Amino acid sequence: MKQNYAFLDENSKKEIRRKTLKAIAIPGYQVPFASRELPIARGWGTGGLQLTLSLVGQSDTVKVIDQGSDESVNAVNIRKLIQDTTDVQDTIYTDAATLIQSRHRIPEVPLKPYQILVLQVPLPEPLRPVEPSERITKMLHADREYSGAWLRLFEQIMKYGSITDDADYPVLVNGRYVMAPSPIPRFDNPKMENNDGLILLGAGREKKIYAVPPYTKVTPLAFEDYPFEVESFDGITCRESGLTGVYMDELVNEETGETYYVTNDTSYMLEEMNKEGSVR
Amino acid sequence: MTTMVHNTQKHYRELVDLFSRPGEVRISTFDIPNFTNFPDAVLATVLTLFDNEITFYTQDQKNPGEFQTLTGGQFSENLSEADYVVVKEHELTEDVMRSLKTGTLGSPEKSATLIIEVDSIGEGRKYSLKGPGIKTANEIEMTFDPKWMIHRMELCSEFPLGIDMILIDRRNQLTVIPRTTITEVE
Repeated sequence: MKQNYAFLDENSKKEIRRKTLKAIAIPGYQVPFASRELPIARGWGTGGLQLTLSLVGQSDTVKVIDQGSDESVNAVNIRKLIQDTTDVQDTIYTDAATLIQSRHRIPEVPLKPYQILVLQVPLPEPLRPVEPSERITKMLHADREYSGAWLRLFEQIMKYGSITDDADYPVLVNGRYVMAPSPIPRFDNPKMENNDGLILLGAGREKKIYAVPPYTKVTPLAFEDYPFEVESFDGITCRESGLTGVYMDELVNEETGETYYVTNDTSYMLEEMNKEGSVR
Repeated sequence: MTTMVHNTQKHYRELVDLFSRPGEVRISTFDIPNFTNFPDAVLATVLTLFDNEITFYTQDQKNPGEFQTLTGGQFSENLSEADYVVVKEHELTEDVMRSLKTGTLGSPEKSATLIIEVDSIGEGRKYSLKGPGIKTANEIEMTFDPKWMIHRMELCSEFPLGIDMILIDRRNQLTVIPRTTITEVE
């Protein structure tokens, strides 16, 4: 069957491209875009996929991950669609990729200059939990009126004694826009700050594109007496690889009831285990 | 095989790199019959970004027709509604700069992108750039009159409002100065 290079027609790509350039020029601001129909359902990574399809070209090497795994159904199918329509190379190694599409994680290996990380976003609006109307949240962003976002964190402290947002912890980008970093764990938030690569975020269902350019200030919202903290994996070792200090999945052996931990970023774990003199 | 689809994709990726790294310079190798008065890199940028959803402004009599035929973009004589303004540096005037749209606080993306042909990038006045996308400071030399940079600073003084500039010289070198960049003339 004949189809367009990178699936989308050229007019759709042009629109996405224009909006992406605006997004890079206005860090953290959600640029509305038309969000095309794709052969996967909205809410399954169509925002990220449209960004990837508008970016990808013959000299690219693509990596697709879903919750740290290159081999989950979602990652495999998105990668297949990209490859079927472009014939680009794929890789599992973060270092070797020019274009990385990811759901819910920023890889453990730091991004390099000129690498592009595309994040899939379900809910791009950080103020949505406090304000259901899009028209009003747009006005709140215009007025830089973020007391709702702060109040939400404050209420969590009042109710539970600490900030309970785990994934999608709101950040302030370049001192101007409060942004939802997509449901990456808090552990990944500091990787956005001053990073070498470009991060693009796409929400297909909500029709928004936004971006964090390289070397941009990204500060998690926090209070002086309740500072931002990442998930702690102190004293925890990956059962498979012996790695420490990385983001882990907590798993339970159903037969013995034993709890154990495994590195979430599987390609990183593999890379480390294949190194000579590796921990295990 | 490379076609227009691949050429515009390649050019777009150069633009993505340049927008996210203000002050870096790339050379465009986009090869296409060019019947406009602009360098190939300008035409490449037009072909990459324009379609029937955008309006553009340009001064020379010859170019609007060419851009329109090739992309379907709508020519507008009214500067204040143009999404893209394609000009040579010597065509810039204070009126042109003042008429550019800078977006609204609610929709700052509804602003103009300026595509300017300058004589040379790599020689001329030295500009020092800071802001998102720049690690410490980027320095760039180009023959671009600092007075236009001052006008740009005024237009960009109330972030997120502002204009983004794509500067292109006669040797098809490109550089981008988005609205977030703070520029200083040395």
